[in-house]
Amino acid sequence: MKKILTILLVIFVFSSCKKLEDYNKNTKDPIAVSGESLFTGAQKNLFDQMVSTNVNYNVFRFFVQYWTETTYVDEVNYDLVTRTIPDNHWDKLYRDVLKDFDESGKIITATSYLIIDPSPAVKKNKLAIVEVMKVFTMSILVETFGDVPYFGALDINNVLPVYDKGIIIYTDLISRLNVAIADMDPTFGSFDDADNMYQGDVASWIKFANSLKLRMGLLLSDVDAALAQTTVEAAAAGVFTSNTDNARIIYLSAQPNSNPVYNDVIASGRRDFVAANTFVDSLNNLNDPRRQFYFTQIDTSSFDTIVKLAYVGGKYGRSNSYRKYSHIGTKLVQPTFEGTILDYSEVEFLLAEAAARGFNVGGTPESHYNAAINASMDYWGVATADADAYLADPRIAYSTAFGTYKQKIGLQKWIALYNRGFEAWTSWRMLDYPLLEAPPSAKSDLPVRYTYPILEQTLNGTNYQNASTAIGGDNVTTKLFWDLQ
Amino acid sequence: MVGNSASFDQLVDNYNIITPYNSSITSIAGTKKNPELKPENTKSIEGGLEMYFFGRRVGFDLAIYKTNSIDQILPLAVSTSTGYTYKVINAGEIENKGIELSLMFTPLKSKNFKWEANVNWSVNKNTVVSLLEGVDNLQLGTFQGGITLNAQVGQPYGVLYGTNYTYDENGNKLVDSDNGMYIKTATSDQIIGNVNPDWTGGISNTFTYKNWAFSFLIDIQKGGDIFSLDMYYGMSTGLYKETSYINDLGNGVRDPLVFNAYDGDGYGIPSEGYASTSGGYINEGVNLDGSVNTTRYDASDYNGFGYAAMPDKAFVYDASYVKLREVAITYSLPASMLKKCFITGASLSVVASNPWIIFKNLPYADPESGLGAGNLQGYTTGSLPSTRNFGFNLKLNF
Repeated sequence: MKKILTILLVIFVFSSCKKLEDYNKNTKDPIAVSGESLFTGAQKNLFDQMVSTNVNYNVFRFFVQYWTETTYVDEVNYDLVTRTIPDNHWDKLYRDVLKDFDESGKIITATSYLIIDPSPAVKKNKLAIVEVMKVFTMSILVETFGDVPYFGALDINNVLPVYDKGIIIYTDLISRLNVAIADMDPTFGSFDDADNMYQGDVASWIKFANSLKLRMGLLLSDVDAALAQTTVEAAAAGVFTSNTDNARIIYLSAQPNSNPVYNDVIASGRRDFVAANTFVDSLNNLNDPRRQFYFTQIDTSSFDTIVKLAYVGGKYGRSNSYRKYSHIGTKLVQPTFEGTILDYSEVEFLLAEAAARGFNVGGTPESHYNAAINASMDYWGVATADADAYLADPRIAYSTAFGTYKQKIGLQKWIALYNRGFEAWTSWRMLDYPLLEAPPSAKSDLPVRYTYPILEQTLNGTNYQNASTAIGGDNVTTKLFWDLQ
Repeated sequence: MVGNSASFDQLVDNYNIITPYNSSITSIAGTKKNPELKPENTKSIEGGLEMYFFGRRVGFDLAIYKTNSIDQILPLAVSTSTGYTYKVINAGEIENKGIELSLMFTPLKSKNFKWEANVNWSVNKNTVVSLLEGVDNLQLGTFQGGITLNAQVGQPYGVLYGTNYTYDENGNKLVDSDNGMYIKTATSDQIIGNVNPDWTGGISNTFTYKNWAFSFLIDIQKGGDIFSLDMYYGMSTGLYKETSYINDLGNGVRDPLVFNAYDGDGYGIPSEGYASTSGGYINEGVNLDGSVNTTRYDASDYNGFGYAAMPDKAFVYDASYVKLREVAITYSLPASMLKKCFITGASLSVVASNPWIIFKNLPYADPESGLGAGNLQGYTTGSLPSTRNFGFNLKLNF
């Protein structure tokens, strides 16, 4: 018996000593994954963040007064601190999107695909697509905050990253985009099924990259007109030409892959949002045929003897009764409704603005303006006859509509960008139209940027202070470098 | 000196597998592991002295300690622009020192009666001596409302940051003359509290008369701050009775503001004064021009009080308390009764635990009811009432 015990003990000691370190290994989570799976995840996280209407993550639909809140009116009054909304936006984009794209690129670079796919062009396409997505994400961060960590970001060995100037980042992003566009070869494939946006179709990615380049170039019009013009003119020939080009993903019927708007509006069972009067009044005033898709009608007979079924918006920024005001249109709150981050109508509006600024993009401001409105009508399913009638209205027709090009394009782009909160906010900041007013109970005037995350104050304090001083104060009302007029 | 190696899963980086979306999804883990971790070391020095006088009627027990944790292994919260939330590091040096003092008395002692008393007092101080090259804040926790719990190098371990009031040079709170609201600091990196108590103590007394014993224990905490998310939201939603009262004009504070004059858009003009029927309340302070604030704050809506109306500092409370922790009455059967029995001793007690919070400053909650796990002190949310226990205790010795 003693002998057996001794033998057992010896075996035990030997076997455990050999792999002592194994006890410290997490066997549940993998230590190596494919770059493609990281790409799929980062892409989805990016869409989720831009499409979401969760009050913790994305409140841009309120900033442009498409929607307003019913009971808890903090976000519509620009309280960004209580729910640390800037922190969440920043965390999502840096950690959950950029970091995973970055890692995806590193792994794809290091992977040998020779057996599966002998052509290096596919790998090059993948890396260029990763680069385009990183540029897109970074542009959103710059347009949200201004100066942000860039050259020193995504490096864990540098836990106190310095903030770089917005204009320097933006200029660098445009040159990176140029390289990525040149690197893409449409005769070869790329991500295939791992890409939920274009299923790996490189020709579509080139159009997307050019459309992004158009948007980014135009944003610099007031700060660096020369760069804006060369960028916009170089991009214009390669942009989206129809709604089938739109940068979108189709959500699935079940959580967590259902549309974030569905998750927050329907699946949550909450009744937090109604149409805002600012937007609905404009739609009603122009008798806009997209109303029926944007919002539901509400029976007003109980509190208004004249109107029965109508589109009614709640007072922006005030407490509103959910049952008294129009709700978000049924199309938008389907679990499988697509999420969009760049579309054809938006591109045509950008071309209209570029043409109005005198850039050579082909066509006239009016031709692009009409194409933009038609694209939006087409997207939402408005009949061609109704769209034509709308464009014939002298208040809408480009030649007779009120105001400067900024006012004409600003108003119609605002209407067309419905449900695209962030882009609508950027467009409004750039064109300064439509005129919006902060509610009397607001914490500040209309926000033209996000304040920096609270955790930047506590974890990266010195660099935060320097950035705050450099941009002219860490306030929501500090205009960003491109927002000069 | 005691050494300690890294706990599980601190060394090797890994990825997370996410629910697939048409195709498989992975994501890089939010914590950057560290394969080059060194074992952490703890250096302790402790001195103690226990003495009794007057035939053990008076005594004391004094302990002084200092513990320095060197290369402590911990996840350091970092800017997420690094791509991570935490980085596992060997932190420089964290110091923990304190004094514990107990005084023992037996003021009365006769054949049938004995009174024993024990007083203890302790103070403890944690400090981050050094962290990592260039890094000066160890963030211990982040909470809803933008509140953070921090340990800055050189500062106490456990300082609450959030938004504060703003003050003029004379120390008066600044109030916005347009809406009557306190002007908050723009940033949430203001020190609004320190969760460490100044000291803690306890007093216990035991009175024994023949076979009866009566004892009670009182616990005391002096100082230490606690942030109440319950007050932050509850004041706003009108849960608490403080949100409804008759204001200085004799009207319901929740009544709408009634101005003497209105502008063209229908908005009241605060400088023209208020009608005698006006609701709302006046925040004490001065306006930016130095005049005493007379603008009323509108409390007719859900955000009339609470987080929307006040800076985070308004919801930081003193966590001091005096508690009757335990009361017990015990009867022991006399040994003579048990002589012929196989039982050598028997006693019956009635015990009450936590019967009474004698004093506290935190409204509607027990100051000890914070999140309470590990480092996360000084923040209370949705706290359940502490339970009061009454019990019997029968003790038999064989």
